[in-house]
Amino acid sequence: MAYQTEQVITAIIVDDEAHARQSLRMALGDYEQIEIIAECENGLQAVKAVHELKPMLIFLDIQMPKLDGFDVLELLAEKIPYVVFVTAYDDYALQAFEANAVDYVLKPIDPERLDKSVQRVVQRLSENHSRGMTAELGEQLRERRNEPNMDNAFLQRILVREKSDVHVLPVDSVCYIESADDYVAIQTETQTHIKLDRLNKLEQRLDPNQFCRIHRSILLNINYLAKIETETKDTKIAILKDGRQLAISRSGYASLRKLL
Amino acid sequence: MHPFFNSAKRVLLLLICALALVLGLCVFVSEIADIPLPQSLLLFAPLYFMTVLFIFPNYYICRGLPLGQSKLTSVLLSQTLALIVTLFLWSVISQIYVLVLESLSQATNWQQIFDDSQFINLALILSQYELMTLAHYLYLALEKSRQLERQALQQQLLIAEADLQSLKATVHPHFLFNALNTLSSLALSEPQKAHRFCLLMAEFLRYSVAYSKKDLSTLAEELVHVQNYLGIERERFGKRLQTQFSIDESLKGSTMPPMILFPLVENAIKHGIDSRIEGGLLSIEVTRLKQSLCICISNPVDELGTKRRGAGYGLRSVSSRLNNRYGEAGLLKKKAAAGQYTVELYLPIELNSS
Repeated sequence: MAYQTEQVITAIIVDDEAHARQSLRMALGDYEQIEIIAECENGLQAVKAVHELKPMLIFLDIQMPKLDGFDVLELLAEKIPYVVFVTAYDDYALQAFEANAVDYVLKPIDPERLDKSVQRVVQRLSENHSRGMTAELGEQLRERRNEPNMDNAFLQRILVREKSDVHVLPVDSVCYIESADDYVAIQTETQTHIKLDRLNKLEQRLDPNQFCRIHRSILLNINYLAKIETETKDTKIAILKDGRQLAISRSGYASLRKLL
Repeated sequence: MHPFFNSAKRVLLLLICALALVLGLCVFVSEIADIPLPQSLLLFAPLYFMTVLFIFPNYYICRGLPLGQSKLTSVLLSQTLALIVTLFLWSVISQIYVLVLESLSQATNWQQIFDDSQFINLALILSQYELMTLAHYLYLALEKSRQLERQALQQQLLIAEADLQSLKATVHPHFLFNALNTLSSLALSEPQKAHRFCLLMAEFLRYSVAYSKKDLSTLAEELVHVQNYLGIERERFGKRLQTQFSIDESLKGSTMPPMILFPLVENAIKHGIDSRIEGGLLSIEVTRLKQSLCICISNPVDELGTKRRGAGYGLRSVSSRLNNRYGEAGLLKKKAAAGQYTVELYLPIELNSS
């Protein structure tokens, strides 16, 4: 098996099933070039491992407890290495973005199919060392997932990562979300979490009956709103139950009134 | 709206019938009471027409007091009261009309004719009223039987649908794919175990496929099926899946519709145990509660919420199958508290004597 690049490819395997991890490890044992530096049983471990070990490649299962493969990609944001999905389900969504994935392999794993996949990764690595391609894939996956026919329910929780730790915030615990440049600050009653995301995108995924855009840069959970105060004729201020004050823009006031 | 008036065609037909009836009655009265036909028409036609109009509201009394459901005395009392009111109104308006006629043409003694035909008028109104009441009750009875028929059809449809849903729910393709993956791994690493796994799968599938042909199963059979399923899932989940059974042995022969237990256990695994990274303990308890068999399935769920909410399809299908079979005696209760989800199932104990 002579490949163009002889560099060692560090990889991690993420799958909640021990049998699946074992099979994949066995199958990858034929490739001296691939060094498996970690096996993860779930998304939390995967996020940690990628953050700490910085592998070049992840073999990522999709259906996992708590955090699925898509959640892992979402949390890794800009840190996404090359991803090969390894999944049992040939769902249409996967087919739809197959062209953009480094690859996806169906379980049970066919060794010939895996060989093609490894070749593809090696090729990508030799052609282009920047990981833009897969970051793009992650973006597409996320957008795909937001399509109403895939998951038409509103977000129940928001995932944030702090270094290698993942926090799961139920949306009911979020007081408001503030945008700043490329990231958002998610405010709960006791904490602030920073996440690389756009407020507009987040707003679309949250229940509009619960979250109101009271200002260009603020999305408020109306369950935490105590009262609205008028400062001058045109400036209004939202007072939250814990006393925090937030500015309301004119259009924000209009949409707030529509909700209340 | 009175049902006799709810289409233009009906109204027209009623109008023609009413006019024919009124004309007929006028001719009849002129013959009986020896009144010239023109006078009879002028005097009685409007009055009889009014009678017809007065009697239609009787429908609402008939609808409000359906025969067979209301006390006969209250039906009679209400109808009599309505009749008296009708008669009273009718006499007052008639008297006014007679006075108007008197003032318009003095050539005929209208009051005299009216008074002379008092008795026959009363008889006519009474018989019209009775006929109309009869017609209304007949109509209502017809309507009710039609409605019952519709309800029965609907019920049948519901049962068929519930059965179809549960049939679809027996073996999910995702489950099959997962099992296949496990099997492929075992085949390479532990052939002996792979063979045992195949046996479990075969037994599991056999019951799943055969169940639609069976009307009744026993608790024992349902439990074996669930054990096979758990045996398969245990390979996949490893130590994330812990189970605990507590079964009242005396109930094992009790019968129930097949595939009642499995969807509940599958649900507990899919939305409960598998929602947690650390997995958890699935407990299944079968106890006797007076005349009922009580199955209690309990499992932890992730408190922070899952990505998708379960559709609750499986549970609803089980619940409607229980209701269809046992009526009020079949019951499914769900409880969610402090990260623990519990489903309780109640059905009558039916011990198979054979």
